[in-house]
Amino acid sequence: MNNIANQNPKKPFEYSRKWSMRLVFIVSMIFLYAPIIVLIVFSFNNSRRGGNVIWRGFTTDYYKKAFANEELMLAFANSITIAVSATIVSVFLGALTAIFLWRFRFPFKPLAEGLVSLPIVIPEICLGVSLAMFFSKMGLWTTGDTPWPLNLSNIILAHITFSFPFAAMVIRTRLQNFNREMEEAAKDLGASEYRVFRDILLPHMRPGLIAAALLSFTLSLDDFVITFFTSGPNTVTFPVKIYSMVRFSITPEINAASTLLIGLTLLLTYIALRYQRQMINKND
Amino acid sequence: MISLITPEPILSLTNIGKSFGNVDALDGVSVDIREGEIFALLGPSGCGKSTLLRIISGFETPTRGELKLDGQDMTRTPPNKRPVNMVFQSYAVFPHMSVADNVAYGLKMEGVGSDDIQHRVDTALSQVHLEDFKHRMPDQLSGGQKQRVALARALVKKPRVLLLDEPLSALDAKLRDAMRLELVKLQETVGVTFIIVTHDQSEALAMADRVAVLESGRLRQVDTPSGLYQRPVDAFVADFIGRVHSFTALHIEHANAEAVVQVAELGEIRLAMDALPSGVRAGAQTDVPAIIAFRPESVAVSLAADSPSTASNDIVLPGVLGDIAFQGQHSIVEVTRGNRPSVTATINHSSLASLQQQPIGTPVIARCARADLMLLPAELGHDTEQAQ
Amino acid sequence: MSLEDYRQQPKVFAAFALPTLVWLLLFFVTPLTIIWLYSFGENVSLVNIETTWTLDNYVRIFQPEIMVLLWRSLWIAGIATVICLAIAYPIALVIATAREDKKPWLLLLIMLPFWTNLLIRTYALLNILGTRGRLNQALEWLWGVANTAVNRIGLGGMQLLGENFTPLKMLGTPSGVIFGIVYVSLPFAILPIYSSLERLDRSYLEASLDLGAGQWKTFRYVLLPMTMTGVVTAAIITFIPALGQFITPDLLGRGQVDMIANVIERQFKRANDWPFGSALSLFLLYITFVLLAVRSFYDSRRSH
Repeated sequence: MNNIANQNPKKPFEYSRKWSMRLVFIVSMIFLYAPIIVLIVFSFNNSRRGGNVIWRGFTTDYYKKAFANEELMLAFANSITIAVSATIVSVFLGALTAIFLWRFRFPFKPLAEGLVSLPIVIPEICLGVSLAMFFSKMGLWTTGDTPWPLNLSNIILAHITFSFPFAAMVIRTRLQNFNREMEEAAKDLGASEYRVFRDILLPHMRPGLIAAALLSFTLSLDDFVITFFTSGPNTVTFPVKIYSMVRFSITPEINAASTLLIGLTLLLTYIALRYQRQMINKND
Repeated sequence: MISLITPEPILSLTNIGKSFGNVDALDGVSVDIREGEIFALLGPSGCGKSTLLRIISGFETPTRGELKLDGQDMTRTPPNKRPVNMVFQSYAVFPHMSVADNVAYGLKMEGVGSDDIQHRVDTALSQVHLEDFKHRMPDQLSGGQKQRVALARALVKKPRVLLLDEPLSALDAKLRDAMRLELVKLQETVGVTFIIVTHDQSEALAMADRVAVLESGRLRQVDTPSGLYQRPVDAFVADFIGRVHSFTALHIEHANAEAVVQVAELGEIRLAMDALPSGVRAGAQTDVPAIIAFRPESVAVSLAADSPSTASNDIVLPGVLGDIAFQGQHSIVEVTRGNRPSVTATINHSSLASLQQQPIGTPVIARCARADLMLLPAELGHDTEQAQ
Repeated sequence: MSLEDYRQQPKVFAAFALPTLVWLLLFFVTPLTIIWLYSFGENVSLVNIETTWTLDNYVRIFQPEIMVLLWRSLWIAGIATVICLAIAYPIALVIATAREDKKPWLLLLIMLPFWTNLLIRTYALLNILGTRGRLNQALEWLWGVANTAVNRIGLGGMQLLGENFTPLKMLGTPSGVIFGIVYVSLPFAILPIYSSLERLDRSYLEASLDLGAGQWKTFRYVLLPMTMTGVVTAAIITFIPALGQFITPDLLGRGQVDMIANVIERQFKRANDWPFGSALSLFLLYITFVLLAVRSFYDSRRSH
């Protein structure tokens, strides 16, 4: 209530100004970032040895090598295809889920809510194993002969299953601050149920849809465990490929490939942030 | 100053200032608070009263100035080492502790023995009439009951000064009036000095022994409620405590215990006064504006037709009858004056009868006795001394 | 906000609800049901399993080799969770009390590694944790500095720090796996604690200070109890994935520190013992359910 004081509230427990707390924070940030930075730096190391202990000069050879590695590039293309397809369906399914849970009262609602959030909380290995068994039992297992991109369908189905609940969560959060009176106002002015949805609800949901899309995309691109169990013999994704390379031997090429994926993640984060800022500016 | 006769102040603030970046939240605040009084810090929101309260409690450190409690410098003492306790605006009753645990918390922190704690908690709870709620959890209490817990929790520490931040703002209207009286009674029982922060002038006037009016981080006036009402030091205080009608003074001369003021609309007004009020200077009122003000309570309204011969001592404002708003004990009568600002009068029911029968637009005369006029500076000069 | 009854617009409701429910039934409930049936089954041929309602697969979980693994998974995940919470709380406090304009950036700093691929982050650790990796290089340097200091103050002869620097063996040891799990789950632990701190009205802390408690006592009696929901959420959100971790023990444990997920993987990818693998997966799922039940019990107790 005191405007002047609120401009610079000095809180009694300003932990962020204590040097000991800052030290914990900084050390933790080093802990979080140092391995990734070392990984990126040593992707430019001119050394054939794995483990990358000693700096032997700058080179981009391993990037060239990574780009020339056909299997790796195919895995990358697979990953992007899977992520794009899974994202489209996840956002659609997530939006439907968010709307029906947000809007309606129906019997067994807590059960439905629990079911929708269950794929988020159960250990991924359980989901991976059960989907693998499901595909094999249903005879949906892709073989080496299945043409691209149909051979990715199992992985895409699996990715949708674990990422649409996240999308629904994000979209529902957005819906929660929708003012129902807007809908009533539109109806009062003569809009039909469908027009209300198209003209009022959908524009309100848009930032949520975009956030959900970015989240689904990242989740799909990141997934290793579930893909590892549901992928067929010839359907290797980027993380699965890196995993098999790591198991085989540690080379700077893996660092280069990893750096590419990190770069992609950074780019997505940047887009998300820019979009968010745009939305904030628009709202002002 | 009359400090020779008043007892040693329990809390004394000297030239307190607080800046947040380039903004001065408080500037040059000096005030002495006496033992056992209820002292109110009154002002509109953003005036700095909360900051001042937080400086007294120790949550903020002033940028300038000194704070003494019982003669000891406490400017930089942390809040947990000050014999001062606070009732928060949100009450801040710990939700994970029972009522008794909340009240006992401060004593535990002091290291008081558990038998003693038991006893003191019971006493404090009975003081606020919550004996039967000892084992309840806060979410089972109403807002008013939570406030009592917060009160008991602070009082059980036997603070030298109890701070109350907007104590009645979260209560509904009926409870508010009851709690006003109860707080005053409680203060009389425990004898602890109370400092109450409020933006509600009626609250301050009803409860406090003395009131400090703050505006834009500066202390405008410290006085008793009746002193503030009858002798406001400037236009801001006059308007903040009650309402006033004001007219700009154009020129002021002062001689022979008499001020001759040229006033817009009202012409020449002669006021008996030994000296001009502080902040008001003689001469043309261009750069140091002053006003002539009077309160609606001092205005009488009569029909122009049966108006007595104009007594030369009154201010007379002719106009026509406007709306009459019924207010219970009295009514507010509006006298409209063409395109000039209208004047309102607070009139009791016996004098209202003759007006009530008249249609809107009947010519009337509003008058105010010369003795009820106040000559005030429109803005308080920085060099002004405090009243009292 | 008032909710609409589904009976008012059954068609609209069905249009929105059915796709989700069908999807979950098909690709979530059915797969789980299949492994549930498998868990009571026996291998009749290489890929054919018959559900004979045997409890054999569950009994096998209690054989010593598996119990050792289960127990190890539990304590590794437990220690990793405790370490995560201990680091996460101060970090969350720093962010929650930082200036408003800095908060989004600090949160981004926490979230950025979380967005980065889990496998890549674990691989990055592989480079750090080796006996000749960066961590040991850093430790060796610190050892050198300390040793010089010890020598300077004239205690060199006592060889307080040992004669030579002994590198920490992290890869293939439980500490390496714990390090890895803490590394990948730290952002998970920070966010719930941070949001419970954000929601806390600061006047509670001020009230505690006002009543004479110091910083530590305020933390112990007010701050921590009032943010316990966040801590419990953080603990569960860290513990469940940690318990089912596959990559970390696989890459950093070098096959020496297997956890449940590694055994499950072996049943499906190598041993081809699907019934037992299913039983183990479900066992992991049951532990998850128990933990979630504990949490909701904790929540409901607190709201009374």
